Amino acid sequence: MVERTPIFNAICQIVLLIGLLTVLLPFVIVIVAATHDIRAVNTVPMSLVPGSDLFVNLHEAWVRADLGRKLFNSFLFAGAVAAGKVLLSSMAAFAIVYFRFPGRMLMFWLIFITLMLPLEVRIVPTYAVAANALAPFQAILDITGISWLIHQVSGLQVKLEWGLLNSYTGLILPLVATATGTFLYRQFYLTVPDELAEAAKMDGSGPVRFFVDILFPLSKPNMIALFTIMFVWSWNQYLWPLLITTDPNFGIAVTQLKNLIPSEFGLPDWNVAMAGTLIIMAPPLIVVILMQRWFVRGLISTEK
Amino acid sequence: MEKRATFSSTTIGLLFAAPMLVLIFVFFYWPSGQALYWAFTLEQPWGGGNTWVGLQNFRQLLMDPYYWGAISRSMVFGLGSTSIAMGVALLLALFTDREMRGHKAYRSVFIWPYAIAAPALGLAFRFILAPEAGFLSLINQIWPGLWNPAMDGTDAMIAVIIAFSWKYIGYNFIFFLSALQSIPRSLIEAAAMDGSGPMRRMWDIQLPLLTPTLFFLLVINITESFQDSFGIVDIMTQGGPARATELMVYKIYFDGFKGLDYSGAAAQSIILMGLVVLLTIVQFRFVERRVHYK
Amino acid sequence: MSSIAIKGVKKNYSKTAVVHGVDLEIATGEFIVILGPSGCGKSTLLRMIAGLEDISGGEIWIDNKLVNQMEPRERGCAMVFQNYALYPHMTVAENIGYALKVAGVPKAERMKRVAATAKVVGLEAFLDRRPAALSGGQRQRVAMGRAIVREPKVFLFDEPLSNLDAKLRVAMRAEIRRLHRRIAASPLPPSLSRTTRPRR
Repeated sequence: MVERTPIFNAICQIVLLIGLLTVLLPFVIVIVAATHDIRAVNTVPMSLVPGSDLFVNLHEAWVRADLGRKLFNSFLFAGAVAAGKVLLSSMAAFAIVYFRFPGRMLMFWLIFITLMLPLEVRIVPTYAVAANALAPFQAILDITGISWLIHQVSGLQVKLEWGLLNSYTGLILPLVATATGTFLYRQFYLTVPDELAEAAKMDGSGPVRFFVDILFPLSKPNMIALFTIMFVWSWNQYLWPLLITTDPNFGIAVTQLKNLIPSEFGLPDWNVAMAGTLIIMAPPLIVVILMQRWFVRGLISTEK
Repeated sequence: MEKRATFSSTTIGLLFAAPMLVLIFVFFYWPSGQALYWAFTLEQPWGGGNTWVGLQNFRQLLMDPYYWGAISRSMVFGLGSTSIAMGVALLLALFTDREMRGHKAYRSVFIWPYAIAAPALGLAFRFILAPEAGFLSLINQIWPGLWNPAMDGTDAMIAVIIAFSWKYIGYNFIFFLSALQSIPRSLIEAAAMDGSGPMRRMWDIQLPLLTPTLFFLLVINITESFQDSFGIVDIMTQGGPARATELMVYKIYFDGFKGLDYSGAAAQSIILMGLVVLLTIVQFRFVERRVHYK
Repeated sequence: MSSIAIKGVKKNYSKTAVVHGVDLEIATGEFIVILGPSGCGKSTLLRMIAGLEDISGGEIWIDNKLVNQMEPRERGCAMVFQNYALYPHMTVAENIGYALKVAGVPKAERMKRVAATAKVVGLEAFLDRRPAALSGGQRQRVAMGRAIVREPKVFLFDEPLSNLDAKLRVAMRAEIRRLHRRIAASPLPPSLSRTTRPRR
C-alpha cells in the first residue's frame, strides 16, 4: 500500500525493537553468564562480553545434574507422550467422526471434558492412582461383587496391582490422557471429502484399511504439528515428573533445575546454573525454531 | 458437521476409541471422582478408611486465612501477568502485522519464550532479578535495599509475574498475529480507501475484530496462570518469602505432598476445578457469539 | 474534470512482471470495462490506481495530478472489492458512513448523507443490519453505497459481479449502469472503471 506515515512507522519500529530486546535479553544473559567464571558472574553489573569458561561450566552442570541420563529420559518421555497422543487421538477422533453407534455423543463429551481440567489441578488424586493404576478396576470389581464371586468360586483373592511410581509408564500415560489432539484430528477429518471414504468403500476397503491406507497418510501435516507441540509441552512438564520420579534413574532434565539452584552459602555459582539452564531449555527451543510453521499451526488448531 | 459416508461396525468403532477411553477413565475420571470423595471425607489417623464429614473440609478451608491469602495472591498473579503478557503481545502483534522491514524476524523471535520450560525461565529470571548478582542488583547499588525478592514479598511477587508474563508474551503473540492475519486484507484496504490511517484502522477495524481472540486468551492466560506458574514459583521463591508467592496450585502441592493432608488438598482441588470449569463455560458462551468475517 | 491518465504503468513482484506497461486514457464520465483472462493483471492495475499497490514503473495521473506517491485517501478513488470487504462488526449505516466518520464529517450531516445514499442503492430498510444478515445482492449494494457516499472522483469495481448468481448479475449490471448514468449527470461526473472476467 502507498502510505506515508514516517512518524508512526518509526514508533512501530522502536516498539518492536524494544520488544525484541525484551525477548532476547534473557537468552543473551543466560548464554553470557554461562561463559563466565564464578567471579565474573557475580560482579555487578555482569559483563555482557562473553568469558571463556563456557565448556567448563557446561561440563560442571552436566555432571552435577547428571544430564546425560536425564536428557535421555527427557527425550524418551517427551517423544513417547507426543507419539502416544498422535496415535490415540487419531484413533479416537476416527471413531467419533466416521462411525455411527449409540453412545457416540456421550463418548465425544467424555473426551471433550478432559480439556477443561489440566493435570496440575487434579494432581493429588492422580498421584494416588499412579501408585496403583489398576485400583479403579479393583474398586469396580469389589463394588459390583465380582471379586467376591470369584473368591467364592475359585478361592482366589482378586488383587489387581500395577504401581506406576518411578517408571516410564507412570511418567507418560497420565500426560497422554487428555483430549488436546483428538480435536485437532476431528477437525481435520471433517474437512476430508466424503467422496474419499465412499471411493474406498467402493474399492472394497473396510474402516481399518481406510484408516491405515488413506486417512493416516493424509493426516501427515496434522501429525507433525501435533507431535511438535506435544513434544515441547511434555519436555517442559515439571510438577508431574517431580512427584512421580523419586528414583533418580527415571528423573527428567527439567526437574534437575532444582538441583542447579546455587547454594545460599558462599559465592553463588550462577555460571554453572545458567549453563545447566541453557542445556535443558535448548531442545524445545530448537524444535520450535526449526518447526515454527508446524508449531504455530498446531497450537492454533488444538486450542480452538 | 456430520459425515455422509460412515462405517457401520460398532465393534471396530469402539475398539478405535477404547485406548483413549480407558486412559481418560483411569487417569482423569477416576482421580477426579476420588478428589470429590476425599473432599467430603476425612482419613482416620490410625487407618480404618475414611469417614464422611460432609462440608467440614470446605468449611475449614474457607475459615483458613492462609487459604484466602492463596486465592487473592493467585488473583493478583493471574490478573497482573495476564494483563502484561496480553498487552505487550497485542502491541507487538499489531505492529508486526504491518509487515515493515524485519517482520519475518520479529515473527519468529517473539514466539521463542513460549518454548522455554517454566522452571528453566524461573531459574534464569532468579539470576537476572537476583538482588546480589545479575542486573537488577544495579538498583541496589544506587538505592541499597530497594529490590530484594528473597526478603520482600512484593518484590518476590513482581519477580514471578515478570517471569510468567515473559513466557506468555510468546504464546499470546502467536494467537494475536494469526487472528490479525485471518482478517481479510481487503477489509484493511477498504478502510484505507475510506481514509483511515494505520493507527485509526487498528482501533476501528482490527481491535473490534480481535475481541473473540482477546477473550479467549484472557481465559486461557488465567487458567495457565493457575497451573504453569508452579514451576516458576517452585524454582524462584518456593512460595516465599513468608508465603508471599504461595499460589493455589502451590498450596495444594504443599498441603497434599508435604503436609500429607489429602482431604484438605482434595477440597482445594475441587474449588480450583470449579473455578477453571466456570472460566471455561464463560469462554464457550462467548465463543458462541463469535464475530463472523463473512 | 476527473480524468485518468495511465502512462506506461508496470508492476513487478520481485522479478516477475505482472503488468507490462499499460497506456490508457479515461475521460471524465467515461465507463470503461477492463477484460482479460484471470491472472492477467486487471485487479493489479485497479489496485495501483487506487493506491493499494506500489507502482513499479510509469505514471498514473488523476485530474492532471501525478498520484504515484499519494496515499489511497488522497486520491479520491472509491473501490468496490470483489468480496465487498464489509466491516462485519458494523451495521450497514456504519459501514456506509465510516469514510465520512474518518473524514470528520459531523454526525447529523453524516446521517443525512448515509440516508440519501441508502436510498440510491435501495437499502433504507436495512440500515441497522449487520452484513452477516444480508443477502449477496444486498451486500453488493452496501459496498456500492460505501463507494458513492464520499462522492469520489473515480469509481473502481473489482470483478463486482463474480460473487453473485446469474440472475442477480443481470440485475446488478443494470444497476451499475443506472448508477453510472445518474452520477454522470452530476456537475463533476467521475470516471468509472471496472474489471471483469470474460464471460463464457
